[in-house]
Amino acid sequence: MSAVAKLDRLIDAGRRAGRQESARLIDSLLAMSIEDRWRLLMTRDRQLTRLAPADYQLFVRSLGINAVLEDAPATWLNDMGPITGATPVVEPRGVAAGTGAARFRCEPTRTADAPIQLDGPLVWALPFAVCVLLALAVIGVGLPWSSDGPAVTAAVADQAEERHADHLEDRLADEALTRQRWPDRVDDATHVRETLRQLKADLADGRPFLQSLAQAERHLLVLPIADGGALQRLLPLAEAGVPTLDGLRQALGSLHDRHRERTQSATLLGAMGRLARRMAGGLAPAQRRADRVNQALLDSRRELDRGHLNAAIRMVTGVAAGVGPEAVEWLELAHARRAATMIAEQLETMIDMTPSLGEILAALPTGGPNGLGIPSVDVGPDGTLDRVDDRMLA
Amino acid sequence: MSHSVWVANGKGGVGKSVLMMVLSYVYEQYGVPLRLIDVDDKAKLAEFMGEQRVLSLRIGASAEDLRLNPSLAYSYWDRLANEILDQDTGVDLGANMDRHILAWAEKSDLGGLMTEYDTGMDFYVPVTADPLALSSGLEVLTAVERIFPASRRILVLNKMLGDFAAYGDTPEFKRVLQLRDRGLHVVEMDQCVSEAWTDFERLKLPPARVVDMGAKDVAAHTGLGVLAARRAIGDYAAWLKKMQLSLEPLVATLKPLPAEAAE
Repeated sequence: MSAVAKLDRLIDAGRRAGRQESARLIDSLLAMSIEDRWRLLMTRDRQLTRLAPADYQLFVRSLGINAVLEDAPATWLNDMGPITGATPVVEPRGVAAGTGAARFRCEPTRTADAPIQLDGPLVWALPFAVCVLLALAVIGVGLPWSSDGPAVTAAVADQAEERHADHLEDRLADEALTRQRWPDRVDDATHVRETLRQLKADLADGRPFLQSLAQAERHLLVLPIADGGALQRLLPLAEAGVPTLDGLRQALGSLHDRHRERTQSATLLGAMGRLARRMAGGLAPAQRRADRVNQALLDSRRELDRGHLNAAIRMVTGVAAGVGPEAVEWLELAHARRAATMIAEQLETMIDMTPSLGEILAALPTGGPNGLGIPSVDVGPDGTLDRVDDRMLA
Repeated sequence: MSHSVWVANGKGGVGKSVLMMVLSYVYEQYGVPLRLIDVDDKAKLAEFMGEQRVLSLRIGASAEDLRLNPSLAYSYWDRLANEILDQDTGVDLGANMDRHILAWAEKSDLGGLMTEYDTGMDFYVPVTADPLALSSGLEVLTAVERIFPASRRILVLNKMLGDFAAYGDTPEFKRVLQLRDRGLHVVEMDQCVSEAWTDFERLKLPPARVVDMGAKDVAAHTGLGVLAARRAIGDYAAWLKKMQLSLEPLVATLKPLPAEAAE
């Protein structure tokens, strides 16, 4: 079999396996709660990369949206061409195309697409049912009225008044409670962005973040970051702060200098021997190892100078055994920095998705219910009911 | 007549060793097995391909000594000249080694020697979408044009850090266009999206080994399920095939594809 034919066979087998895997996965994903599915989508969970295009679309549609993230997750999806039916993502005003968090466009509701039509038996059945109900209502009210007259009227009026009073009492109690909670809720809604920004800045700048984390948790109850437990692992550094890239660079510099000094004496003592061996085409293994470690540390410093933390981590990891516990400690801090950077990026997405104070205020209809708990009942100075917003009765 | 395939860029992490391994695989399909030579203190190629397969010249001195006195290694590298004049070779220059080796080649008139011995040369320079990698790669290409005028020079756009669309108007790409007018070949190297890519790297598996591995093996080494492992191998094969198709026009001109492989 030629090499290309062999590759083709592997590609076909891979695609078949991918389709089978996707079919299995979509069942388990659709069985999840909608919150969990949203979480997977927003965090671009790795599992989603295993879905075939049709299944991925099914998953996205199960969330009631008709759009996909601009950078749809893909491993093998890339090979399958663009995802069909994906709607171009429309950025909200103020967010330049291609920047900020990916946004979604909601699918029109089913009734907007196809308003309910009265046809077939419904055309006759519905008016008939309404007529019967009206007739029953007339008989039910008219019969006692004609027999007992004023007594019944008085009793009905009493009952209605009693119910009304109870209803008003309940509502006033509710409203009082709402009023009591309102400042906290406004406070929460308006400070979330600020708090998230503070936490992000603390993480990014290497400042202690214990306080900002506590604030964020207070406002959001539980910080909804799906980071694989990275935030939890950063907690030991909460009081000291996660070292910045610059701090890591300095720490790696002194680590490298110390290691070079330690290996220098061996270098001087073995100089003659090395020279002889070099002529013969090789270096003493110990010296070569020391050189290799020193070179790797030097390269790592250069990578850090260029801002390439991952490359530096990779290089130091490769020689950590040759350096000792100092390198392990440095690596722990470097991993923490990497995790902090990742969390800061997620926080940025959350900040972008959280309404600003201006947006919150703009969303408040004057004096009416707004979903944030503004009382819809105004109570006058004498305690009497002043105005009731009809929408509360709905 | 022998042929020598070189891969170099002064910037690390641009995919030099990966490219060398792919080239070795592709040339082998065309009946040109390469004797691999690693001129790098890290000997990464030998780690992947096995010490039997790779001659690790390393650098003959510690990198720091070499920076202080480049001529220290010159006589040591003369061995490299002997190797490439005698057989088909693939030479992988480690990061930061390009300047030293090219200076040595220029002073030794290696280009003239290769012409004299009828040794052909393909010089591949991989770059990623990163200004440092680009400028360093262009530096190498300019030097190679001067030192090995008879060589074929190939710029490999490695898309592992993203595509190069943003560089369309930069001076670096204008320079690429100039070089292309003077015979520079440009090929693209896609990012491998196989889920097991990092595992293959960790296990030091070269392409030829990966496509020979069964899904069960891959699953055992990576912790993936068997279906996912098979998909990961398929993704890897798709990437390798794309690479083979990109490089084919260059390789095919050297020797015709053997009858068995052409089937």
